[in-house]
Amino acid sequence: MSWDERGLSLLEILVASVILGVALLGFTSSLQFIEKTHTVRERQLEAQGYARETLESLLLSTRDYNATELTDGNHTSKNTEDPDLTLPSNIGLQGASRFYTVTAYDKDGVTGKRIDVTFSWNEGGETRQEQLRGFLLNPT
Amino acid sequence: MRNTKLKETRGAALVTVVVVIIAVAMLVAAGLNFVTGASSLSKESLDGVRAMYLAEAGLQRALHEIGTKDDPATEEEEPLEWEFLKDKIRITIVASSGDPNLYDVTSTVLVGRAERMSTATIRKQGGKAVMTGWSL
Repeated sequence: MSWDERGLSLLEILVASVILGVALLGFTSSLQFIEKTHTVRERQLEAQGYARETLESLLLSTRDYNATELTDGNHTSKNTEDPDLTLPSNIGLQGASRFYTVTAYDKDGVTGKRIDVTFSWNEGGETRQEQLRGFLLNPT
Repeated sequence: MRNTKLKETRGAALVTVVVVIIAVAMLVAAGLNFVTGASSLSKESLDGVRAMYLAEAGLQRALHEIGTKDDPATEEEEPLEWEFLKDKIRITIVASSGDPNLYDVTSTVLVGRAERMSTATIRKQGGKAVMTGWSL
């Protein structure tokens, strides 16, 4: 066996190890990205479900347009009236809360109320939000 | 003889690593592709719900149009475009054949890549508009 042949084997193993190491790092970060994307989307869907629940109850056609819960401004209190803004205790999202804002709409002769429901939660030290918007026409 | 055997086995480590990397890279690429697709579907689903409520808002606007205008029907191929904040809602109002006070309304909204449409039948009666049928 010549020295040339011996050296090549060792060099190959070193090169191979480096390539494998770099590739593994790349794969690991790809897998982390996959997991993070999946988690974020799942939580967004869950959050939207809670926002939807509130908006649905506010848009009910039978609701009185001048009802207290449809007055202009932020509605953040955990009131006991419908829509109840409290959340189930076993909710999977950290620091979750929901509120809605009613804003008077008056443009081009159209008057009504814009309703923005916001659901927020904490994720990795960041506050995330999911928002839904609806509209109620002034019936008069 | 010994040298020949060594020569035959030379390069095995590098070749094996390259083959393994290619195989794993293909698996990861497939996984990424799947997750990206699933994520895109979830995004579309989220946007779809937003679009649905905006399309409902369009029906409310149609109630206003029918309730306040003598001839609320929109021109063919020219729907009423309502800029509701940053979203654009396209509303078509078509007079129903046979009943001059009945209108078929379609409200369409595009949010992201998700398009949603709400339809309703609205009747004009006594200077007011009343929704008689509604579907998503």
